[in-house]
Amino acid sequence: MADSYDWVPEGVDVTVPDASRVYDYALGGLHNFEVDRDFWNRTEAAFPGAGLVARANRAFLGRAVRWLSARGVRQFLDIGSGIPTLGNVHEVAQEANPDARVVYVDIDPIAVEQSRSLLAGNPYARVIQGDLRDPERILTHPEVLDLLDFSRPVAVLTVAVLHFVPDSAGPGAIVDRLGKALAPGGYLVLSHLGPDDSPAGRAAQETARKLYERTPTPVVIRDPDEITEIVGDGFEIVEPGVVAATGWHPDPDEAGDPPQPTALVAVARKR
Amino acid sequence: MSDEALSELVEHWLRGVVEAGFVPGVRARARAALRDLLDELVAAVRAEPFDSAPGYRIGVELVDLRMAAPAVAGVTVRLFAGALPALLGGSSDGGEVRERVLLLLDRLVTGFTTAQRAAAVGAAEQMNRSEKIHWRRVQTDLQQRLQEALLHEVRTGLPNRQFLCKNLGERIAAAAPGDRLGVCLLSVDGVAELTDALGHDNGDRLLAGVAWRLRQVATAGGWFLAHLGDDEFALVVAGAGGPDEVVKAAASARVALSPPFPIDGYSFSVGVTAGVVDGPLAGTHPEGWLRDAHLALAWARQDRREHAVFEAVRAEADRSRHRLAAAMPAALAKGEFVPHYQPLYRLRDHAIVGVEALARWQRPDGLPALAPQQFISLAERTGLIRPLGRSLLEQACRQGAAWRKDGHDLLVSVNLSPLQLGEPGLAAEVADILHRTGLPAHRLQLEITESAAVDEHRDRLRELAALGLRLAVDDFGTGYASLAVLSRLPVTGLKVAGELVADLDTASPAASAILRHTIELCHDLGIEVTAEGLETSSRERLVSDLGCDLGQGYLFARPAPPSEITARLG
Repeated sequence: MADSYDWVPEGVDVTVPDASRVYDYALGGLHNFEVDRDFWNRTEAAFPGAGLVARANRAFLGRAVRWLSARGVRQFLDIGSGIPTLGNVHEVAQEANPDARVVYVDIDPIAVEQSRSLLAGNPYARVIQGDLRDPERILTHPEVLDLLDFSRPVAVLTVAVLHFVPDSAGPGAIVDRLGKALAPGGYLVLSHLGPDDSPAGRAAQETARKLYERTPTPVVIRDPDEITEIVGDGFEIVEPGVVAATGWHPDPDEAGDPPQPTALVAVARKR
Repeated sequence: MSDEALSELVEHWLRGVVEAGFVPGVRARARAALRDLLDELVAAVRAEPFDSAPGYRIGVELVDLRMAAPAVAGVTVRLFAGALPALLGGSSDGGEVRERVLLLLDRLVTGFTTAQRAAAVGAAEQMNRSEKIHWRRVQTDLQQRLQEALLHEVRTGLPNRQFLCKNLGERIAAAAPGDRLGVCLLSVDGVAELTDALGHDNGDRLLAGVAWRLRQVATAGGWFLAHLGDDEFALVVAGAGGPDEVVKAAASARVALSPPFPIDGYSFSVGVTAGVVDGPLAGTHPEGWLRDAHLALAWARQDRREHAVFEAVRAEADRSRHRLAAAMPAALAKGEFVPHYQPLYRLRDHAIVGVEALARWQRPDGLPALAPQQFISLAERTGLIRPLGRSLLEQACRQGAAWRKDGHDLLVSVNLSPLQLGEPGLAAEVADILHRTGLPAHRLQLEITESAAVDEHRDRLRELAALGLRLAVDDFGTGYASLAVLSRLPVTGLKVAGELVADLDTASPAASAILRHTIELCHDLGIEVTAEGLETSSRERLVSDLGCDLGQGYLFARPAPPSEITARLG
């Protein structure tokens, strides 16, 4: 009661594009509003490969979860999960281990609500509203503590979300905090927008980046060195390092897919 | 048709589908699923009799496999329309295979778009529902927070008056016969002064400090604590065994609040006054508890005590006084206040030389008439004494003038309240009344109570004396020892209080010596002395011996309506 009342409800504004709904549309999902579709169409017009980047990123998520599942990880904390319609972590993880546990975290209340209805009836998958910039709150959330056992390995997924965290919000400190919560054998999975490899591509990418500046979630493009710095000393980045999503342990089937240098990814093991 | 050819076709199909949109899961699984669908399609082409329905199912299946990007339909139709007829039979059947493939693909597109539409509508509904649920949650949260805010004092975060009433209401509803409750209302003195002197911030800081200490007290005692606003707090003592237990709660609060509060560099001390009420719980009303506690608090303040315990009898007396006070203005307007008169006897010869007008409230509807001691102090408290005094003065003057017309030249003595004495226009008002009633000024005596006001309004008294009327100090011997005042003020009469006269009965030599000297002093100053409250002839003899000039009391006559006085005058 001591702090002042903040009676402005946390915002759902369907007149402003939302990163998670835009991403859903980019993947071909149906859980989005017109404003999100318009936004994505303009982004794709500015940066024609954008759809492929999104798909490569999503495909990486699936491979990473399978890779982790194969190494015995059965607990996942997916921060910035968006709308879990296509290729969900819990589907992939529970296919490998039916009792795999997943907590989804998203900042968008609609995405959270949406997830809640999609997850109804799944005892090992939950969703909470949370902000990656406040990891403490996520890690101490009763639902998180209820479902995940932090004395055993947990994989924290920050897929296509750290590029929404500006340097001023201290992405390195956030990752460090998350790492401290993990037991040995825990992992960090991340993907992040990286610079295109051609000047023309970078110019197009810059146009698209400027579009995001007019949304509540501007993006920051970081190169592999910067991403490595964010991962920090708490983790050891596993092979093949910080690479394009299409190059991270690709399925032989996907080897022919066009490389996506702007979707940088890494999986790191808790030291 | 070779299996390799079909596999190759599936490979083409998969590439097209993956290029069209994101396909979750591993490619191998997508490939296997597409192979199944193709086998189904081939079987349908060959089936006898031919049925195009499988085409529809395959379209739906594609969407279910989340190969739902719009381009998937185009990719599929283009691929199969081009390659399947040749693969399945070439031109040998006169175009029958081609016809069947096209019919199946037509149905496939319908199935695909129908399923896609269903998925889109379902998703839209889901989004809509999610948004609604979200907003409902936001609303509920807001409502909860609003409720919280409505039930708590903003400055201290403690339950407020509404919360307290709710809490009391719940206790009352759940009370078993014999359950008791105690409420201790605490008034913290000094908060308003601090706020005035050092600002609201510091006032709030003090309140927060007070609340913090009271919280500890309440927690330790297991009592419910509420902050009713400003400097009032309440402790609810459940199952109190009697008022003593509630008084103890007040005492613990006082102890907790006694160390000074460091505020803005000052060390600030507060006092606590408590109103205590306890009693059976069942069948009561929350507001009743607060009202009684407030009344007890008011008594504590009035009596200048640390606390007071609510008593029904005193409360009833208070209430009837309030009812009386409320009825007075209308009664005055209806002329229910009339003077009765008590004769003033000259002790030397027992002649009636004057009357004292005494107010009387003649109530309608068979209610008993009330004597002045039952309502004058009330009228002084409400301020009604001003118009009431004026009305009585006018009535008495008019009566005096009437007697005078009938040949009875009586001194009319009327009481003047200290409040009336404070009115700047008093002398002019009295002059006006004398003028209108026709009573000569020297036949009017105004009795003023011996009090601080007498000295305070010396100028006013001089104005009145200047009118030529007489001024008497009333109730001498009960208040201030103001013999000195007699010499400073234009006083012409002194009325010795009945109590002082009664003291003479006890044969107290001191009392009679004081009285004797007072009377001598008065006579030296030309002041006439009246003995009030004469009830026995022995007392009359005593005061007569001491030199009193006039006497008044039941020995001679009780106050009576004017007609009785007229009869007595003969």
